[in-house]
Amino acid sequence: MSTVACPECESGVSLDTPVLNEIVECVDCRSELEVLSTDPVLLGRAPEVEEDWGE
Amino acid sequence: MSRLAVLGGARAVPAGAVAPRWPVVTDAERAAVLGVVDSGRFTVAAAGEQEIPALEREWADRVGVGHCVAVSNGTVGLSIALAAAGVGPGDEVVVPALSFVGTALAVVHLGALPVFADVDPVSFNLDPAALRAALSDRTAAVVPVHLHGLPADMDELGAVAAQRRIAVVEDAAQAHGVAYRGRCTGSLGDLAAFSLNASKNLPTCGEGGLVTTDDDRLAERAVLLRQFGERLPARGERPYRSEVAGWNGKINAVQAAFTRAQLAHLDGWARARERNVRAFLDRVAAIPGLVAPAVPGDREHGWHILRFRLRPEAFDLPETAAGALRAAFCRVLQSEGVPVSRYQSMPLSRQPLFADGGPACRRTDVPVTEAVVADSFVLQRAHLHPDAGPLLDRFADALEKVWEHRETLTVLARAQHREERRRVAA
Repeated sequence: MSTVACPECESGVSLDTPVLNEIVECVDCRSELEVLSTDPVLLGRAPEVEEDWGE
Repeated sequence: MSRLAVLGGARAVPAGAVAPRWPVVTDAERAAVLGVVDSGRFTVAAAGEQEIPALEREWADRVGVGHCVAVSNGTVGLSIALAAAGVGPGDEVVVPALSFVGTALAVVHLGALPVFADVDPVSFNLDPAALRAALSDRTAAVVPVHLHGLPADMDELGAVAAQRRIAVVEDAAQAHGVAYRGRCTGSLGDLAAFSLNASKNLPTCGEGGLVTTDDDRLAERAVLLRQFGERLPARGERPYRSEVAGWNGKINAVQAAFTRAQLAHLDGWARARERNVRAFLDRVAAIPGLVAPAVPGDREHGWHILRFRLRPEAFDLPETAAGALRAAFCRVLQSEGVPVSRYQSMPLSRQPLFADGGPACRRTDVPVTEAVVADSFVLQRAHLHPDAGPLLDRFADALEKVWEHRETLTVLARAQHREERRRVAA
């Protein structure tokens, strides 16, 4: 079990087994977060959907 | 040092700072489109249609060649240009391994074989030495791509082609009106194909393309190939007689009219883009972890796409982690509000369409293309508008901010790299 700070509200977010690029939710502020690193565990804001320009 | 946006800090590019819309649409474009709609003449086959021949004349003049044939899109234009040059089933056509898939498909759709050759690590264009090594007795043509708007080494490539008497067909989809040693893209080979896709520096309101050549015979063939192989009379009854296996490759008159309105601004907006991009790149060039695009003194750059390579050693990472670094860098930069992306995720030779059972092709070793695909990212479209300068300043702020946080980038890249190795091992 790892507990890391939510980048939005700084509440502790508990993760049983962090998986890289997994999207999790902060139970306090409901922000969607992405596991950016597992060693050390680091959470970031989840990516926004980008437009595909096509060709 | 301010916190990275991905970790909860404020964005370097404020949320309200959006890229000005491209293409620019003014009253001139609206009037041009409505004029065609009101005329009732929509294709080159419609008696009295004027927009398409006018665009063809104006673009031929701008490029400095005798002929232009407007077509439905750039990829069809490249097929038509190659077919006009005599490329057919079983022929080999050398193309750079780093390009949009349309470059290869234009060859495949003729029943010919694309031969994938490596590119230069700085210009990202076809390496003349790689062209020489890729030639065979079956080679009928070479397609130099002016990737991202930078003209390829046309004199060197042309010399190789001349020795072997093979056709040179420029893929100028991304390079409209760009100077190379005093001449213009589109006039540097036997034929050339431009794209007018809405994302291009010379766009239409959808899809379109232009084929250029200075050769009367090749132009005549391109016209036939655009229209089912038919020779349409200037007036009178349609003969319904097809001389060659052509396509329905016609452009719509609405598209032609829109592009004519854009053409009036092409050079002025290119000058504004040059100023904006140069100022942006001056700042990027000062970041040790990045390699900004360079321009040889003998040519211009159309700046259709800006490609940046990352230097893993500057982040204390091995070369093998280049892809992981690029992924982490883009992820963090996107959170700062910079719409960076990849442009091509693999060499053309590794596209699934060429796997076993797919169209025939011939592969050569392309280590430079592999490295560039792994370690680089691009900025597209957001910088094209003539008023994009202030936004590019914010993008430069973001790049400098991310570089300041390079230790965090290294942590993220190492995590990605470990995951990539785990997947490969599994």
